[in-house]
Amino acid sequence: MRLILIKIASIILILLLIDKLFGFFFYNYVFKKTLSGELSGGSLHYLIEKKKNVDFIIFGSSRAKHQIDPELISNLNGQGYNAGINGVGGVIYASVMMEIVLKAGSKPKVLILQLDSKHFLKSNENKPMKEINALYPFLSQSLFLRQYVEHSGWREKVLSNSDIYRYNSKAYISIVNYFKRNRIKDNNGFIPLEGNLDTLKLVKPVNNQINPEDFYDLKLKALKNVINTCKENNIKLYIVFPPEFIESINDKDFYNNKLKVFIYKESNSVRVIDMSNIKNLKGLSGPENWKDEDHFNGVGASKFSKSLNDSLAIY
Amino acid sequence: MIFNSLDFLVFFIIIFLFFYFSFGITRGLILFISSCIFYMWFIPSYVIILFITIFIDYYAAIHIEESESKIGKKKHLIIGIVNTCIVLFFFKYYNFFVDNLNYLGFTSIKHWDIILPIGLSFHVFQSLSYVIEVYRGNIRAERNLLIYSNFVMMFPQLVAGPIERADNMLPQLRDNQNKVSYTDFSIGFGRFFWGLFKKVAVADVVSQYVDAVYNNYLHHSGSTLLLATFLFAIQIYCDFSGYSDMAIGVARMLGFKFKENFSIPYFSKSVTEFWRRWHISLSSWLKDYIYISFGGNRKGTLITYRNLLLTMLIGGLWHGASWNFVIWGGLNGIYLSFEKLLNISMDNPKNIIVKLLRIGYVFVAISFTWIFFRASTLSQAKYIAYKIITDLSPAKFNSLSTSILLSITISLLLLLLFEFFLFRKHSFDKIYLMKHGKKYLNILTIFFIIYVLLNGNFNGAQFIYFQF
Repeated sequence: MRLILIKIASIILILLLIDKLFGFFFYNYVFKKTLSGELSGGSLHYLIEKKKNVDFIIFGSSRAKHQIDPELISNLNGQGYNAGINGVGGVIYASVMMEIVLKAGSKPKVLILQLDSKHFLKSNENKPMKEINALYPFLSQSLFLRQYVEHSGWREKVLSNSDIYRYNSKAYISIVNYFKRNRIKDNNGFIPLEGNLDTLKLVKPVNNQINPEDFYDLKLKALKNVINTCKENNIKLYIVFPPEFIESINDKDFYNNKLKVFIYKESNSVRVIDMSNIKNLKGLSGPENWKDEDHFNGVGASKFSKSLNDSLAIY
Repeated sequence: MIFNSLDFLVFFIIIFLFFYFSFGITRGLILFISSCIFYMWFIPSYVIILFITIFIDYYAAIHIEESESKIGKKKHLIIGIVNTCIVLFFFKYYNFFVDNLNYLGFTSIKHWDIILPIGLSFHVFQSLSYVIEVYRGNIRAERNLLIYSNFVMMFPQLVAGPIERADNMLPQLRDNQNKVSYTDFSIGFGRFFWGLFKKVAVADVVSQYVDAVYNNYLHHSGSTLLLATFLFAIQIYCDFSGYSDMAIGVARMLGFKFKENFSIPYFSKSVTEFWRRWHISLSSWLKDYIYISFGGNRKGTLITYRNLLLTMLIGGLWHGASWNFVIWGGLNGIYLSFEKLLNISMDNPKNIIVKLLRIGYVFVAISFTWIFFRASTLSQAKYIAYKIITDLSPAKFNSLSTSILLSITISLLLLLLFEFFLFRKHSFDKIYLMKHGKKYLNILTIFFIIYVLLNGNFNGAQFIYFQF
C-alpha cells in the first residue's frame, strides 16, 4: 500500500506542478496575446487592447455578433464595438465580460445587450460548461464566473481548480490565433453571414413543453448584475430582443413581457427595444434577408441594424 | 455511474481501500456490495432482474452437473437457457416483435413502455456461456453463490463487458489470497487512463461533429455524411474500446485479469480478421455458441455461408431490437461469406500496397455498416447511404470549425501514434517489465490525464454500448 500511495502522491504532485506552470505560461505568453477568435478570448482581448475607448459596446450571442453592425448605429454618436459571442445565450457572458472590460479600464457610455427570453427558460438551459466555456480562463478575474462554477455542481468545482482545464478545447485555437495576432486588421467585431435561407429545409421545432414559471434563476441574476453594473458606472443600457424567421417557442410575447417586467423592476432607466415580432420590421420578413431561422444574412443584418438605429433615436 | 465521472473516482477509491484491507469472504462481499451499488446507480430496482438471471443459471448449472442422464442434463440446460432468454426477450425484444406483428396487421398488442435494464445483453450472455460450459463438461458448476454472483455482477464488466468466461474468472474469484499488488495497480492505473483518453479525448471530441451531422442529416451533402460516418467508425471504436480499457484497468487495480476485447481492428486486412480483433469477447462468444452450434464450417460450403450469415444476424440483433441492427449484422455476415468465397479471410498479403488497400477496403466496408448502427431509424440510414453513394461532390462539403478540426486532428494523430507505434507491439504489462518501464508508465499516465484535461469533451454522452 505504501508504494501505491507514494505513486499516487507523486503523480498528483507532478500534475499540480505541470498544471500551475502551464496555466501561468499559457495565459501570459499565448492566451493573453491573442487578438482574434472567441474561444481563445481574442475578441475580448481585442476590445480591451484596441477598442478600450469605444463609446458603445454590443454584447450578446451570435444574434448580436452577426446582426448588429456598429457602423450603422449612428444615433449613439460615437464609435462602437460588437463583442457578441457565438453559441451562447448571452446574458451570462455579458455579465462576466462587463466585469472584465470595466476592470481593464474601458468605460463605454452605452451598452447594447441582445437577449432572447427563450434563453432564460430552464428548458433551453445549456450545459454549464458550454455556457461559460470561452470565459473559463478569466475565472480568477470574475466573481460572477466563480459563483456560476459553484452553482454548476461539484464536478465543475473540482475541475475548475485545474489551470489546464480552464483552457479545455481552447488551447490549439489559442496557439493558432497567437500566431495570427500581427495580421489582425482593424475591425468593429461585426461579422455578417453569407448565404440565403433554404425554406425547404426548415425543420425548427416549436417547444411547447415550457412551464410559464420556469425562468432560470442564475440567468436572471446575471441580468441583474449587468443592469446594476451599468447603473453604478453610469452606462446607458439598451436591451434588444431580435426577431426569428420562425418562432421557436409558443407564447413568446408572454415571456418577453415577463422579462421586461423583471428588467423594469430592477431599473427604470433601462430601455428595452422589442424587435422580436418580424411582422413589425418592414422589409425583413422575406427569406432573402436570412441566413437561417435565427440569423440574418449580411443584407438582413444591414437592414436590421438601421432599424435598430432608428429605434435608438426614439428612445 | 460511469467510469469517466468523478462519482466513479470517489466510489472506486472507497472500494479500493476496503478491498485492499480485507481478506477471505469479506473481499467477495465487498465486491458484491460494490457491484450492487454500481448497478443500482442507474435504476435501483433493476438489480432484481440481475438477481433473477443469477439464480436461474446458478441452480441450472448445479442441476446439470448433478443429473446423471444426458436427457436430464439437457433438460436443465434448456431450462437455464430458456428462462434467461425470456428475461432478455421480455425487456429487450418484446416491443420489437409486437411492433412488427402490429405493423403486419396480425395483432394490435399494446406497446410496453419500459426502459431496458443497462447491460442486460452482456450479463445474459455471460450467464449463458457459463451454463453451456457446465453442460459441455468444460468447467465445474460453482457451488458458492457469492462467487458466482461476483462472476456475473463484477462491476468493471457489468454494464458493457468484456463478456468474461467462467474458466477465466471463477478461479480468480475463488482465490482468497488474491492480493492487490503494486504491479497490478500500476498496470491497471495506466490502462484506465488510456481508456479515459480514448473515450473523453477522442470519442467524445469526434462525436461533436458526428452528432451535429447525423442529427441534421437532411441538411448535409453526401461528402459531409461520409466524413461523419468515417468519424463515427473512430468514435465507436474509441468509445467501446476505451470502456473496455477502463474496465480491464479497474479490474486489474483490484487484482483481476480480464481478457482483451480489442486488438487494433481497423488495421485488419479482411473483415474476417476485423471480427477477430473487434469486440473479441462477443465475437468469440458468437463463434463458440452460435456458429459452431449451427455446424460451423463442417457441413459444406453453402451451409458455412448460411451459418456465417445467421451468426452475424443474431449478433446484430444482440446489439439492439431494431431492423437497423439486423441489417448491420446481415451486412457483416455477407462480407464474411464473400471473403470466404474469395479465400481472402485470413491471408496475410506481403506487398505493402496490397496490405494498405486491404486495410482501406475493411475500413470503408465496416464504416458503411456503421451507418445502420448510428442512424436512429431505417429510413434515416437508407437516406444517408443513398446520399453518400449519389452525392459525393466535395464542393458541398460542410467543413468543421477550426477549433474542432484541430482538436479532432490532434486527438486522432495521438491515437494513431499510441495505438500503432506503441501498444500494437507493447502491452502495458510489457512496458512495465521493460527497463525504466515503471517510469514510462507513469509518464504515459500523466500525459493522458493532462491531455484529457486540455482537450477532453467533458459534456460527452454515455458510452454507446451501455444501451445494449
